Amino acid sequence: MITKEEYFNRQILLWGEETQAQLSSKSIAIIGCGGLGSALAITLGSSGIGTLHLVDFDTVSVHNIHRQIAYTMEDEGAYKCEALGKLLKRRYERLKVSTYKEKFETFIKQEQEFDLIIDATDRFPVRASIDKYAKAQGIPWVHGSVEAFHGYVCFYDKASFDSFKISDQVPGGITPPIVVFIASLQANLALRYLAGLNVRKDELHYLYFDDLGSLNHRKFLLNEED
Amino acid sequence: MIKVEFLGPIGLNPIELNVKTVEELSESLKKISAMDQWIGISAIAINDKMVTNSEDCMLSDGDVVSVLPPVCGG
Repeated sequence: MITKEEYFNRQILLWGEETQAQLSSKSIAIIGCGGLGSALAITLGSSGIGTLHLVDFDTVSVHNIHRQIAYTMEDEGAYKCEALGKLLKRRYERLKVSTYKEKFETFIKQEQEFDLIIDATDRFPVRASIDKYAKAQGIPWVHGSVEAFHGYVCFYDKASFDSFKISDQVPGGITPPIVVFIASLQANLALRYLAGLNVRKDELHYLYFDDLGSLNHRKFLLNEED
Repeated sequence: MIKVEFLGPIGLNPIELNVKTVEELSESLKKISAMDQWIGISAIAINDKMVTNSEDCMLSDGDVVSVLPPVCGG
């Protein structure tokens, strides 16, 4: 088996062996194994985080594969969480992966413990449920949402998700690069937090390309819950 | 007078309005036909701070209100 020192050489160069070793005790839940979930799991699953819980009741369809970068045509029909888990183990065999072919509301009844929850869902009501659950458990969560050429990212700690309207909106058109872009920002916040580095909490990032093709990055503060 | 900016795919140019509350602001925005699809589903920030229960918020001269579109997908 390859040594951790060899596998994580460049990360140890960045933050040292102690921080790298601490990551192995961390556990995260990724809710949704679609576009955001694929990119999040690939980047975080090979970072040295000890345990990933992957939650998704859906199976891989051909129209998913262009932007859900973990999957190949051979995965059509497979449960996303299971196909993703297999890929992660092939990338880093020491990773502990648990897969859950169920909805978030069912998943949380198992009373697992996590250091962080990451939102890779595609519905507002599920995000509201994640926020409520995270507050009840006293753990933070990282929000991400993406469509067309824009998306939001936020590390929610004390603030609530209430500034967004909880509608039954369904996702619109999208391309692969913006999905990976938003997931990458979520993963950066998650990994910095888990590595004990500073993370600005309860700050909403909105990123979008305007009509002129210029990338805009706006930041908004969120109110803490009463 | 306050300034209102419309972010992302809402795509309207900023406007200035003489309104005192977010409720008055909403009424003014309802008169803009291009806002039909965004009213009621967008989020609001005042001076780069997100607001909840926005209808109750008072606005002051010089405030900048940002209208942020919903993004659902993942």
